[in-house]
Amino acid sequence: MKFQIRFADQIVGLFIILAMMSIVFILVMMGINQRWFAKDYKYTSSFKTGNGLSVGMPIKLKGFQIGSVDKINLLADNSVEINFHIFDTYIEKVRKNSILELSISPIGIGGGGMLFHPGKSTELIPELSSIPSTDFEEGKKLIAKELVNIPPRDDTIVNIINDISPLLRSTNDTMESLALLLDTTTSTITGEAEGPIADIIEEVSIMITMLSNSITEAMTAANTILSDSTVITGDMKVITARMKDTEGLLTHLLNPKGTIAKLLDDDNELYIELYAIIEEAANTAAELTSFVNYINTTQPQISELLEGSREAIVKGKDVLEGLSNNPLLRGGITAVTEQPTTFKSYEEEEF
Amino acid sequence: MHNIYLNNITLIKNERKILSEVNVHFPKGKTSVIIGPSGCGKSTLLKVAAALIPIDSGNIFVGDKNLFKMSPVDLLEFRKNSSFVFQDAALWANKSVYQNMSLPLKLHYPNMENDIHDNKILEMLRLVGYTDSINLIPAALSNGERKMVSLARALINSPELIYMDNPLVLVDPSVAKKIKKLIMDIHNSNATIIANFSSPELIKKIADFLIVMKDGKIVETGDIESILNSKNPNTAIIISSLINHS
Amino acid sequence: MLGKLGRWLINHIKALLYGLGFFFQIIKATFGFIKNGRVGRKVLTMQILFTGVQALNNISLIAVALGAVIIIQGVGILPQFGQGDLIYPILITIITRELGPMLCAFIIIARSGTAITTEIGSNVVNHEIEAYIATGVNPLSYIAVPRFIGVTLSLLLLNFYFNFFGLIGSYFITQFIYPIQAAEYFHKILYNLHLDDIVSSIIKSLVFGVIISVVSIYYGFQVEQSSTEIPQMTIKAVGTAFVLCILADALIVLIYYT
Repeated sequence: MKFQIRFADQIVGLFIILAMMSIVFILVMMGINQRWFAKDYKYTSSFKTGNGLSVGMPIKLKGFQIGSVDKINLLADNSVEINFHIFDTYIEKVRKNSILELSISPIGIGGGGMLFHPGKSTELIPELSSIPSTDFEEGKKLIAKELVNIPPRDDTIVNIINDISPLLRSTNDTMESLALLLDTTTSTITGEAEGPIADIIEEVSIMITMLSNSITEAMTAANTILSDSTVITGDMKVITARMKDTEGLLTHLLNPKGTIAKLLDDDNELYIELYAIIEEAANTAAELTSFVNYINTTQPQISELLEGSREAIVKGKDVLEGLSNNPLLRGGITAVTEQPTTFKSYEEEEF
Repeated sequence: MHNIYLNNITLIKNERKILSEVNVHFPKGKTSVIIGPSGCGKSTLLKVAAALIPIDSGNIFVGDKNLFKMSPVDLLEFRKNSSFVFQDAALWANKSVYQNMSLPLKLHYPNMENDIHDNKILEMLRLVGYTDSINLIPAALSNGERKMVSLARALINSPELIYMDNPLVLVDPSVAKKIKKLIMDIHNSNATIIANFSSPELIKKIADFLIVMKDGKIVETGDIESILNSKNPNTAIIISSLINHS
Repeated sequence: MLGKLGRWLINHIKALLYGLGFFFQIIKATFGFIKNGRVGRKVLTMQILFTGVQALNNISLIAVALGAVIIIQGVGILPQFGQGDLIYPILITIITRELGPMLCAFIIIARSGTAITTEIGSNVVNHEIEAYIATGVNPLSYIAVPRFIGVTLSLLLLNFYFNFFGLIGSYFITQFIYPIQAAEYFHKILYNLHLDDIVSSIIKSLVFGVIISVVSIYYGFQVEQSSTEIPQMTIKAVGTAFVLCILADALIVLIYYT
């Protein structure tokens, strides 16, 4: 005590200096961390909806934060404009044809974010320009034209859906052409349409060769898809089984007395919804398997192709619709009538 | 220092009039002593005359200057030339004897050299008869020593006007003797003294001017002869009780 | 009854106006002190020593313990909801913005507020204030202002220490229970700490400092004659300071965040 009073001036001086130093240290570190002294480059972009967007949201490139969202505005045409900035250290990534993508996790909790995909051009985009987003055509076109560096997705479900989409589209196109051809042939045979039958038959012949090639090509992808989707179906079944398991983690978390349920207090809605989503996903995958099996079986029976194609058109459309309405992406699948396959696969055939 | 005038002073505390329309003047260079029965407001009048406590109405003049309307510079000058000796010493408890003495000096003579400053403190303490350590705090001193230091503190700036509130209360005879001698010396140095003494002997020896009080009012004022021979029955009773008490 | 109520109201309004007048006198005297406060400088130093330096061990202990508890609880619970990073805003809200200034204020009320009221009260009873006046020392400049500046400044500085110990010191304590990567922790703390939080914290500690010092000094001078008044005035000072600090906190939050 005597010591303190004797050296009061020095002790108080030290007390004040250390306090000032601590606050200055914190402020300087804050400045460095929050980039107070660094220049940021400002840009704008547009999205269809403000869902999933938030002020301060980080903009990431390959897992690195390269900027963040400053402002979100609803425009007169009901589109959403965002103002964002890119850190000066990453400004060379903002090249022409760059796009923004708002990625939302399929499960809905976490994992989403604003992704920046740099353009393949070497030219930089000037500050205050608008950078297109994948929500609009401009962004999609840049991807289609392969002008954007988009990294491969590490999400298996997304990968498969991406692989299937072009295949299904091409199959659908072929089937639709075949249907048209079939109709024309039928009307010609029944005398409803005029025209040289030989020409039509020749056309059918060309078409069938084309389809044969197309299907052979599709087979490779289809086999991969088949194995992948079988695995997924299996996984889905396991998940579904686990969800049903009364001792399981999900049940524990989601049961009405569980932690989450208590917090949410929503009469088990989340549980039911989540269960339905996974079950529907399993159904879709099962359907996909049967569809691919179906495609498999059609190849050797060229003579039956025209008949089968008609069914395939319907089936293909259903699956397309099912996939586009996939609950993981959107909501629900319309009820489909079971379409039994009439042909067997190679494996089941006796040689 | 000038004459001190108190005009129509009224002081009310807890709805009780402590001082009631007091009009009195304390002549310059004289020793004025306030006498009266216990609780009549002598100490209060002394503190009011020194402007230490606020009043409800009235004015105090130092010469022709109103003490309540003085500029800070004039007020500081008045304080430099006056001092107050309290009945209970009123030393600053958190300061040592040295610091108690040093504060008035430093305040009024900020540029005084340290040697002169310290010598003056030691000299003044020696004058009042204080011989103990200057680093002791008031709580470590006896009543007599506190009174001595209090007097030394009051005299350190060589004031022309000294207020004294019963400086001989609670001191043993040997200390009282020293203090009495000191008061006599101050009286002989032509300083103005305004005091409240309980010692008739001291009153008789040094009082030039007496103020007789009763129940917060002035009964009579005048030189010691006229008061001792006063025909006023109140004054007579007060004088007789003072003499009998002694 | 109505008369009594009227008198009560008038007395309270008078007391409030007197208190405000007292506050402005202190502010006025503070400028004088800053300009020419040579005599009272030592009193100011001692006040910072008693209020700031000697309270530092209490403040740092509470800050470290509070910070560590928040981190340990947060790290245990928040990741279960996928909101592990929420620990940083929570820590900042509690340590910097809300509880830090308030806890420092409460400790200062308990330590220094009571001491100031008691000391000034006993100065009054022992006629020491009158002795100051008689000497030519203005009690407001010499007694009130150094305590006013000392307490306000000490509270501000203690708040800096509270933040430092609460945000940084607590990390090291947490390491014994829940090891967190230092780089990650400090980066996220500093990223989530905004200038707004610090400014709000500074405003709060300054306002609380002013309230505590003025209230304690005011009640000290309210003692008139008897030593039995001292504890009564000390209790009043503590109660009033608590209430005013909480009201001021609510007011600052309302103004600042609306």
